[in-house]
Amino acid sequence: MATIITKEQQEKEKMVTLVSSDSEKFVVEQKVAEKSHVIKMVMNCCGIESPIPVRRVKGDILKSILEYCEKHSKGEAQEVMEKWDKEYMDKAEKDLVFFHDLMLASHFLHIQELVDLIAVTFAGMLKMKSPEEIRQKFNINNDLTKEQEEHIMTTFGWAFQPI
Amino acid sequence: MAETCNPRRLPWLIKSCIPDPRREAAKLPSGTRPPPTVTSTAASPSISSLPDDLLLEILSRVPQPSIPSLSLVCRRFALLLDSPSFYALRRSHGLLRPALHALSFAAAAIAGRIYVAGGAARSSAVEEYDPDLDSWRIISDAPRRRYGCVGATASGVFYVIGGLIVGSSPRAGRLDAHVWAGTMDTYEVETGVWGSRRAASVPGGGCVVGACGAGSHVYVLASHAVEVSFWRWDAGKGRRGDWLRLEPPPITAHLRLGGAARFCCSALGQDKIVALVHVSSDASRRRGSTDGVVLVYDIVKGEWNRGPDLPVGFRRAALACVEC
Repeated sequence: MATIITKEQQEKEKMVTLVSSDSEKFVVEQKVAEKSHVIKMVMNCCGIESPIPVRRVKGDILKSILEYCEKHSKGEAQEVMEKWDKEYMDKAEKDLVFFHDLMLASHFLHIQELVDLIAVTFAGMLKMKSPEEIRQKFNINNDLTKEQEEHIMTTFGWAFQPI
Repeated sequence: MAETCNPRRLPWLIKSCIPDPRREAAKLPSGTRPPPTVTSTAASPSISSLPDDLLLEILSRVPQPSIPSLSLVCRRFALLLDSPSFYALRRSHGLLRPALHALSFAAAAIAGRIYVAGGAARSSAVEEYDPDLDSWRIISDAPRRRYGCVGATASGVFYVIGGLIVGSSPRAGRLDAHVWAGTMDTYEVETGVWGSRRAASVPGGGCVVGACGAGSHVYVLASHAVEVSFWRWDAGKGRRGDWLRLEPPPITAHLRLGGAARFCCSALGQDKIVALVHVSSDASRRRGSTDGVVLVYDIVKGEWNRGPDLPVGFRRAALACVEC
């Protein structure tokens, strides 16, 4: 019995080092890092003894992602998690550059839950806005020709008619 | 979301196992535009620097009413919103509805929420919309699948009235598609209970063409070929309820053989009912519009009055009343 407990403890304390693109080091539990499908595969094939370079993700982004992974590896009640997710998103979406990089990084690391969460939050930013408002907020150039615009207007015509 | 068999995943994973500084800039796998590096996004935060698959993940989660204005943002948005992948993703998020649903369903507002039933051949779901949460959910299954039904509400009960039989009901053949046209199903929202199995039907065998609730009563317009009758349903009296024949709306003069009329009615406060009648005749069909007649029924006096006609040009207008 005793050996099993120590094994479990060892399992629990297995730590792995992740290195970001700007050489910042993060030491996290293995189960936290496993939230990323990509890192999990790397750990399976290369082991956890040597630090794993996450070359395409910057330190501040990786820190935030690991914060998410750590919370989500605890298996808390759903209401608690939903509340935490909302606060996490509220904080992240304030800085669009950061938010945008967070989405790319979570997609790159293949943390599908986080990609979904960010996509829902992003979609919330796009709803109930005019095309011009969206272009300004996200710095998009309107490259539609007059003909294309007219075509869209006729396809969705009913939606633009004043009430 | 379940892990899908994406053929891209494996080479991608291998690439990520062997970090290659030269690939640093090629972070975005599918790029029609030059892939921006992390520093370039810092200069201009732009949703359009996301790869197509991530942008689709976002766009596919935007509520339906906001979609048209999104396709006017830029060419890339317009192309993505029109792509098969967009619809596939939307379907997987459960945001796509059968198109038939949007045509002829019954809708009513009860206690600050909107209830929708019927109109779909494949589903008998009753859906509830909560404006506070901006979300739809399925709350019940209707006992009958109706197409072209009308909705009404009185005393917290959702009435689904009339319509044609659709879907694969064992008894429903094409010939007797009209057998439910005069019947109604009742759904008590608070308890979530449907009324008795046998649906109450409008006396005289008419097809229900318009209905609305006012106070604790439901008012129903039924069509009998060239005649229109007007009824009041009183749910309070006994288990089965009671029908009372009222003065029919004065539109018979407008109806001609071969013409068609479309009705829409709504309660105005507790004592008035406004009916909008679209009458199409040969002359109006040539004009490409229908004549819209507005009629107001005074519940206390029990009489109809004609209001100002609808301006020319409306074809299938709906009607909602707001007191101000």
